[in-house]
Amino acid sequence: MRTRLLLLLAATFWVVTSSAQGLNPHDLAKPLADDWPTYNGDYSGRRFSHLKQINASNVKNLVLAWTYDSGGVSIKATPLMVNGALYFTVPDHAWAIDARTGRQLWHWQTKSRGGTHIGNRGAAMYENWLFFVTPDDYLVSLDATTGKERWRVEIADLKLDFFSTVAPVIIHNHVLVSPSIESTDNRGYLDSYDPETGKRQWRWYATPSPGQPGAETWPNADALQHGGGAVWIPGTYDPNLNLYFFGTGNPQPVMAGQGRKGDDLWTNSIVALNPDTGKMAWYYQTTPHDVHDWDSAETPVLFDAEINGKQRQLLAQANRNGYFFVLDRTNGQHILTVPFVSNNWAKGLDAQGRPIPDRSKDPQTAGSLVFPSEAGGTNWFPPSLDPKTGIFYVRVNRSASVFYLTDTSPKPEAWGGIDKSVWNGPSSIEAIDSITGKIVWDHPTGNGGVSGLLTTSGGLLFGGDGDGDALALDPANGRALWHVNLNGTMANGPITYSLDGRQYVLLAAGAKLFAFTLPEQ
Amino acid sequence: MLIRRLLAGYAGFALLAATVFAAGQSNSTANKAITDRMRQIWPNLPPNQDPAAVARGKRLFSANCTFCHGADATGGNGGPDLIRSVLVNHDEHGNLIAPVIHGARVDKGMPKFDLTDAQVADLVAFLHQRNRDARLRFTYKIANVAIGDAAAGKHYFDAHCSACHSANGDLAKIAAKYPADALQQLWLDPAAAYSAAGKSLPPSQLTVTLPSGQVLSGKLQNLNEFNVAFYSHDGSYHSLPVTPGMKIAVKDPLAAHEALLKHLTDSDMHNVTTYLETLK
Repeated sequence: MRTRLLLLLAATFWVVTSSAQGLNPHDLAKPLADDWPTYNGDYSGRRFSHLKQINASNVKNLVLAWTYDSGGVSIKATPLMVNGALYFTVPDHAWAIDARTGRQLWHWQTKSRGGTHIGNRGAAMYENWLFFVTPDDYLVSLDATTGKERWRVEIADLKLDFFSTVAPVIIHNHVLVSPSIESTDNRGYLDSYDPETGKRQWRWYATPSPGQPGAETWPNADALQHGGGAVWIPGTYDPNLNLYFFGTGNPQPVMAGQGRKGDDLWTNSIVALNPDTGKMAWYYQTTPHDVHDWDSAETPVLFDAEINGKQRQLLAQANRNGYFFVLDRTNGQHILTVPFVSNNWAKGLDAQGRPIPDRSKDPQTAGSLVFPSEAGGTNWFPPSLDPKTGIFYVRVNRSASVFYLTDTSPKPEAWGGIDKSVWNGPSSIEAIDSITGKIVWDHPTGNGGVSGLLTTSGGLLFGGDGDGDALALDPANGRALWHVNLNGTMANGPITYSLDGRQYVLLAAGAKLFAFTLPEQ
Repeated sequence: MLIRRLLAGYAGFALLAATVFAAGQSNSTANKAITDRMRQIWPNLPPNQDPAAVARGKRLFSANCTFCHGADATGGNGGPDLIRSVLVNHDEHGNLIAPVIHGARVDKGMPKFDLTDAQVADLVAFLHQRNRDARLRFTYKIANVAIGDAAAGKHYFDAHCSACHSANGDLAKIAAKYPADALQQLWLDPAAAYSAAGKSLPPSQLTVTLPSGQVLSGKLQNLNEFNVAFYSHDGSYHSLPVTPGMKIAVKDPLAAHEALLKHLTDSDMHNVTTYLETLK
């Protein structure tokens, strides 16, 4: 009897705390507080939390609160934490688990029609509905309380080799999603869907239409209509400017550029557009006429700072091509370009601050040795920025490949070339001063580190190394303050949240989640 | 090992790029690993077509289609690219292609061809194979890479490689064992060749000097900022926390290869490969 009563009480409590009012999309514009409601926490892309119960002086006391094993596929998603529940994904799967205990609330899975299964970046939430994509190009919406599917819509043509990995971004009543391109020469795009009905609201193509400004950077209509520019990574948003910022991927064909001579706009660019209309406000290209697969998809992080006595609204991106860019986010005006990892493919910077490619380092039939490799100086790994110091933290990889041109025809297809990795050097976590571009410190993390980063008001930077060690570093100097080996590849972004007055840090290694907290007083 | 461990889980692609090197050596285990990995990443990879049908289809294509669609089916004189084609990509066993060949698009300028069902099936097999081949960069063929100057390559070899290698000794007839592109990859990154052959890398030699002055040494198993692990010469395993005052020296037998990369020009690279190609 007593047990039953307790169960009844527990059930009531759960309903009250968990299924409550959901997530009001207007609240997403507020600064990050106790929850972690979007891929980047908040719209800024800073992955900076004001929580400070866990801080530099007590981080060494962290204890494991719980673990959760999702099965076998590496977690690349940044989990959401809303109203005490965590939501995360891997390809074809989504979970809700109790953020206090790690207990599973529901597990959704689907039988795949195919598509490239390399990872899923996570979910987005609107009211009580969850949204995510599947490798076979569905945008799926679930009831967040029950895990029951509400609807799914096809966002791309699987038969054309499109696949989907991105975490959706919710702005107003728009669900922004985009498919990725594997090999086939497709045209990349970003879509907006209605969160109620799944109806498409607009589509923005990553290459101009024939006759549009920018079309002159392509040799012909066929090239630009198959020119790539996939939008791989969730973007950031400035509610005051009402602009959505994101990066576009490489042009197609990937490594053989002779059929698409010119800069190939708007591939490998940082783009700002109005999320209500899908109209582009400005673009800035980071790699003109890319032939090394260096997507410009990395998170554009928003911050404000004083430059030459003037307060500026800025955006910073550490690009896969090895350069760190700072732009004025109101108009895309260039502020700063500096290399954050050594390279041998650029001869300098042009008047707009874009690297000038050394064309002898384009793929060659007998091979050209290029630093960095196709994997780039950094990649999808979410960076972090501390708004108080303006320091940008980024995962850096050092590598080299020999790039071979295999298709020498005037009209190559798909990749048209191949790169062979010849060096996978040390990875590190780097601190870059966003105003000067100076590297403040560099903390080596062994080979193969791929974790994202998180900074907090507790004076901590969380990440991982290539050996499966979870790390807490001092953001001022990179010194390790805490570490624990989780024995798995850390391939997502760590998050932090607070429940019942307790702060948690949530890390993933391989297919497992690990929640750390301070011992109970 | 620390320096050369493959980036496990690294987008899949770095791993594939490294393992696929094995294909050049006809290593069936490695080939199976590649196929398994490809299936895991691309569960809907289009299947290989019957090679005889593809060959017949290619001849039919050359005779009937190349004038408009190009020799490689990537488009030509007025005819669209059939690799990117929505219709071809959606076709299953000719259900969409056959009607077009038989005149469904005459009004759009695609002539009607009187081909038998068997001939259409062969053309369909050819197009689907072309599509698969275009998608799979790991099957792309690298052209002749031995385009350099063998004498200049020998000069470079004598200056940079001869301390460890000899053309008459360990590298005698090396070119007979590997195609030129595999040979180039092999000397640039020998670690990949070890992995491809399923062999473990030659171990790095580790020397640890403890703050007390005691010296430990052995084969490095792992090293990071927190921990050093190694097998000592008697085969026993040791794992130590890295502490201030500890001196750690690592000698990687492949370090000289890694060091070359920093200053290697593309012509050095082609010259050395061209020289190595003469060792048959």
